Amino acid sequence: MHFDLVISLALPALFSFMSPFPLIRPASDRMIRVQFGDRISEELQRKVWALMAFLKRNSISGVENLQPGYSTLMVSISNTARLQEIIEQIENILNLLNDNELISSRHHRIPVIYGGKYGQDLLRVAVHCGVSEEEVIERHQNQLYTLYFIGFSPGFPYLAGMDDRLSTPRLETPRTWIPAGSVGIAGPQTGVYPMSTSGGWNLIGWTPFSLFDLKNPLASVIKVGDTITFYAVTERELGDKIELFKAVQKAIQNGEQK
Amino acid sequence: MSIEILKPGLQTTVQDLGRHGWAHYGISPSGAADPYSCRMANAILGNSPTTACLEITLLGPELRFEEDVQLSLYGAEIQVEIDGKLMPFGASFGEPFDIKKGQLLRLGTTQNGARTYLAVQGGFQVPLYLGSASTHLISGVGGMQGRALKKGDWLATKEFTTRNNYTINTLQYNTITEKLNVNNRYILRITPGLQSDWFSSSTKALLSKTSYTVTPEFNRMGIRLEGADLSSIRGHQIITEAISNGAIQVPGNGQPILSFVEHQTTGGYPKIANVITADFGKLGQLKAGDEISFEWVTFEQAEEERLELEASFREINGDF
Repeated sequence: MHFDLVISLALPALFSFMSPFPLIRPASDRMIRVQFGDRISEELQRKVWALMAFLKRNSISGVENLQPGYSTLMVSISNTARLQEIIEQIENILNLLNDNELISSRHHRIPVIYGGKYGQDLLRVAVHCGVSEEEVIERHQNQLYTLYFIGFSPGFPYLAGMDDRLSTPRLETPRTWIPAGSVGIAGPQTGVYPMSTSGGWNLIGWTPFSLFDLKNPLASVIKVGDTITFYAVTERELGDKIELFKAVQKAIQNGEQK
Repeated sequence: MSIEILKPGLQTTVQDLGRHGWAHYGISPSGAADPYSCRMANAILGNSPTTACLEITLLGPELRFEEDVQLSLYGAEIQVEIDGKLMPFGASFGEPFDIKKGQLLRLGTTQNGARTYLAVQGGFQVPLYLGSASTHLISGVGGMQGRALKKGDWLATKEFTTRNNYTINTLQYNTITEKLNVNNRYILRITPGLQSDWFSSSTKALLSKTSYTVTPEFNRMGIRLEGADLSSIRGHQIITEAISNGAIQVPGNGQPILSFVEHQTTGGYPKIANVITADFGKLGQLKAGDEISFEWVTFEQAEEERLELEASFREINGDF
């Protein structure tokens, strides 16, 4: 154990010149993946944010789309661009890029009604984790989460930082309809459904707070690198905002009756 | 000018060449499933290449026109009926044809492919979402209120102002049509995927030496295939990363899934290969039961094919 620790501390320093990263390679004849590492870490994610911010600030002719993932950024190029030319430009940018460049980051506090009809799987998570429902809520509130990237579907947040002890497998049969704003847990991840969709996450609560604006994504409140915390509220504290949930529920019921 | 939708067809959507630059918000480009056919339909009328068309899937719509207008069709051949009169097969295909005020256009089932593109002079007009008219069905945005057309919809068309600026000539038409059909349309050329080293060389040979069948699960998001198992030597779960259009993903059951225009922007399955851009048109024409095979090419070959096709289109469209 002790030996392993020494090795893992010493290796990066000794062999950093041999590291294959950043690794740039084509994913298709119009897609280039820039890979900063092969694990999930904030240090690596910062490099993704820095490259993304640079490419958004300085529009490079031929670059069409940027798709971040864990420790990777996929750059898609236009029909008339050449892979090698864009790869060389990215290499030059990486040489200039300051790894520690701080992207502006904000903190958001998000109110959540936990349990009951707002979080139908709270008990399931509690049973799976062998703790009380209150303990699940407590642990979910006590963490600082960081938005690593948006992916999968419009506005879907990949948040890092969940307490490992809340890790719960997805539902075996996904729900056909989940209200927007639902707060869920899937494996070691937690997140907020930006839109009403189908899905297999364990629902533990609901928030009227909208992280993502589909009509105008640029106006979305939360951006990569931002941090968030969740805090428990009651129906009364949410006041009028609770109507949002009722409206979605009603829409779901009407849809199901059809 | 307005068009009344009397019958919507199986799945008729407004599409252009896609919504680019929003993938980092989880929004994949969408756009025409067979982008080359969409471009050809526009070129035939002299529309600019980014004009919105109707993408018709398997069964066409019935439309009534409020004014005289010129139309074109390209992609999978389709039966055309005007005011109950059946046109000789293929007569209205690949060249402009006229519809008079009040006439009824009925399009039948597609032949030799899944999708036909109907262009109207000037283009269809819908509110742009993030700069594009494309419908993204899975996300419910763009086009006609984020959905396929339905009975009773009215579609507006734009004023046509750029007559002949972009019109294709016969020589260009024949050249591109030949280029798009030069290979058997059931052979899709592929380049190595990001996790191609997760698969043994014999598995990679399986992909190119056996054929795969398109299952009934084929939509604008993805196309599930059935055939020889492609098991990975390193499992079927990667750290979540971006997915590209045309990626061949292999989940745990070993049966490949082709990601398509409305694909999820990120995913966790290893990718053995990726269909080349020049063959994306063929992807848009696949339908259930089709038997396809794959052919490995290098990135250089794939890029040459793409740039050659672009050069042909640039002769008509210039840089756009």
